[in-house]
Amino acid sequence: MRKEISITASSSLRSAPPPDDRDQLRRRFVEAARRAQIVTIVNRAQTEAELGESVTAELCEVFEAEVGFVLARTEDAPPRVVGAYGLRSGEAARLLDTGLLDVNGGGPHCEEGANLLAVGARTLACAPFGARGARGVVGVARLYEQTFDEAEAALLEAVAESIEHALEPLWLAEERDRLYHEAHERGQAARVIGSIADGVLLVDDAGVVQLWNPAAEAMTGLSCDVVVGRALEEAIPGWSAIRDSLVVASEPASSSERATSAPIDVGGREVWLSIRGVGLAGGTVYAFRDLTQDRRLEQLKTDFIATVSHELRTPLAAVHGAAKTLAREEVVVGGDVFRELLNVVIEQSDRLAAMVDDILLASRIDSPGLPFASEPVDVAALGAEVVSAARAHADERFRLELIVAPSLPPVVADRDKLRQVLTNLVANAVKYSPAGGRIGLELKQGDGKLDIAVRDEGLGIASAEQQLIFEKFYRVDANMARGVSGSGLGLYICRELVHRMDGTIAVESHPGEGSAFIVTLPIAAGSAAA
Amino acid sequence: MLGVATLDIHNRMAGSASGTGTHAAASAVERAIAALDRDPGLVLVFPTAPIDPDTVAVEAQAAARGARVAGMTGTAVIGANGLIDNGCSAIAFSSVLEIGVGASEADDPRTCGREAAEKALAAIDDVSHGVLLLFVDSDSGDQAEVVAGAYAVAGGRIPLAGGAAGGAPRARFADGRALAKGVVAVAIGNRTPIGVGIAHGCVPRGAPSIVTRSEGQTVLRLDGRPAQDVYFERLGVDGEQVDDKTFETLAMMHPLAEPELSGNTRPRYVRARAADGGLVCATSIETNAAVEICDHTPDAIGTSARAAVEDATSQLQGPTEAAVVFDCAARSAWFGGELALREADALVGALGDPVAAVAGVCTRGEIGRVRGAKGDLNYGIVVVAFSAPA
Repeated sequence: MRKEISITASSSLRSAPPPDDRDQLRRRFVEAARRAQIVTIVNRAQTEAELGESVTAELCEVFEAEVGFVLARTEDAPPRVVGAYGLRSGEAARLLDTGLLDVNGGGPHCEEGANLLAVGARTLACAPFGARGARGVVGVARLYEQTFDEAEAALLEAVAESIEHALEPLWLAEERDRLYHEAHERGQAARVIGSIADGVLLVDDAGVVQLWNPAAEAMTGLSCDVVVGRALEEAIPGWSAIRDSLVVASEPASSSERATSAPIDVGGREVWLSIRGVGLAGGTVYAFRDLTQDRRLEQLKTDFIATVSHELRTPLAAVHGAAKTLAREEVVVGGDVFRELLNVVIEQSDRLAAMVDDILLASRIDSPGLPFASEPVDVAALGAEVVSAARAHADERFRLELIVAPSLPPVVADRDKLRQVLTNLVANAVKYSPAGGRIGLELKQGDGKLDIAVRDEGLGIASAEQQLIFEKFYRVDANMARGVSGSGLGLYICRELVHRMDGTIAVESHPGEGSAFIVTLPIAAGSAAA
Repeated sequence: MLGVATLDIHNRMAGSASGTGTHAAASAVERAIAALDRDPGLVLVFPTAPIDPDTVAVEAQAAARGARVAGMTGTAVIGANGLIDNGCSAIAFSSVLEIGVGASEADDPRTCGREAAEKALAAIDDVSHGVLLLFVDSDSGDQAEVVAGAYAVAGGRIPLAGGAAGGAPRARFADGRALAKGVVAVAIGNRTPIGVGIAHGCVPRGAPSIVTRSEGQTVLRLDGRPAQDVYFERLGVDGEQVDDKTFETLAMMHPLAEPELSGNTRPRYVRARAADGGLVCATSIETNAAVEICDHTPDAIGTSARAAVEDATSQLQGPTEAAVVFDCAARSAWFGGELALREADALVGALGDPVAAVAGVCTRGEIGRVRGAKGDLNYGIVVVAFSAPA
């Protein structure tokens, strides 16, 4: 059974024998010194935990107590043990169940009992403190029977006051540090979200966009100002079409949820996105990647396979047909027909070989292992060879011309690779000029460089396609609507070879008026200018 | 040649003996066990310098017939017949007691105290009547921190007693090992109360002063003036005439003390003078602490020895059968000669007749806690008394 005692002017506390004046003076001096000592210790603490540790140890010494503790509860944090001395961690945590923090106001409070604080304490003294929503209590307990006298209670009250004064700025400082830390973390998160290549979209539970990062802007062309703050389906018109197909995971690390690939229509442009959603408190976050390029490349590869299959099949069929005719025993093939069939076999075999060479070269062209010579090349002489060879194959509809400015210096290049480039360009000019016409190979000197232009009067190229025609597998007439065949590798090979020779390649064209492909190569060092 | 053991004391729970000579420790342990005349559970061994600590540890353990062995060196030691300047004192406790021994050599003194106490207390099932002895190293940091570490484990219910090893070389012993640093803890549980008596012989002179500035263990200013000036003034000494040797004597006879609300004082040994007018103490004293300058008199030393014994034995529920004593070397042993013998006689005499088994050691700082949470002492005498189990 425990007995509760209030410290009042008429306290019933057991009192010591009346001390003489000298002893009384000494005691007052010691009390004042101990109070000042505790204030020194309290004020030295830099954190709540430090204060709790140091002041509770000192309380035990000053009050000759086995247990000292400080408990506190602030507005934005649960009740906690600021510090405890003489208790094991489990015992300290149980202090929060004693109700000591709930004592409202008043002065110090003392108790006697057999097992106070559930640690066998016989006497207990507590003093509450609190200000502006925060509340705390400082206490000391003895395991032996000696009640706390009035002077000790008054000293404990003074200690509580100094703890209150010390804790308030510490709590403010800790709150400040927490806010700074959170702000720093938020800033860091914002920087990360702002710099990653994936698009990030945060939608709240009301369906309003709260976050739209720069990568999302870049992928869709929709600016943050336009998107954030608006309903998602209003801000991204194509979203409603894909909404139902999206899977939203419950955890960020959920690997079982696959990303959804879906196109959205942004301003008339189809953008393919790989989208993964994660639900979180208050909304959903979507991360997405732009698959448009990947899908286009995939489409090009598919087209390439179809084209190449067709391109291979055509000469193979011709060779096969010619060979079968020659092999037929019942048919006697005369001299001219015989030679014509043999020529078919030879030409179509050459065509097959050239195509296979192109495919092989395209697959190796990025490799540093592909050998490249760097030598002075007389382009005029090389151009003459190319034009001459083209004339041998072109029919009478074509007029092939070589126009060479006088005194051209040599360029630095790989002769065979440059021949391949020029041959490709002239062959393309022939191929894309179904009505025939003039095809010119024009050479002229520029500033430290030589321009090689291949001009035709053929079909021409739409301006939207002019940047695409140098890409691997791209074909102007993919469906062969105009009857032009090809693998989609020729111009890609030209561009790569020219780049490897430190040159450039460009196209000038108008649909229906023909095209000009201009290759520019550096002039060999030490060569005289024209 | 084996050492010579003298005055065997035997009763139901402990036997003690002392020894001298080359193998004083082994001899004392053997004779203490012989005096016990039953299976020993623990032997405490306290040798004086000069010794080889490793040899003492091994020999004492070998002689202990399988009992746990712990102890430490002392400036001098105490046996049942008084003070021994050169030799070894040992006490063997019956195996009916619950015994735990732990040691730690951690660098941090608080960790050291905690670890050693944890190991020792882990072996004790019932600590309703127990005591935790701490044998510490005053050269490895603040002794108060060791006590704080041990207190964190033992809590307020288990009294603490012990001290810091003295002599040169100084060592602690645990189960056949000698520890040059660290803490050895011995937990003893009994079915009847164990008494712990604490006293000192320092008497405050004049009014207390206030420490107006301190840094760690150095009190820089008292009452707003250089601490040395106030110290010499209170003692009526011309500080300029005081050389180091004289100061050592003055400091030994006139420690500082921290007064407590209860009216008691906690003496603080003044180790040296600081160059800036401060006084270097054995433990830290906070700014704003009250301190008193004390007199350490031969009469008070004798009186306090008896008081400690009476305090300890008054807590028992039967005749005193054994006692372990930790006596500050700065008390009578420092004064030497007649005073030291008188104190030891007073001590042993107070233990009653027939004489209890007793072993003690003169220490360089004492540990004694029965009330409150603190237990680091200077100039103290701590007596741990045992009566037979019911």
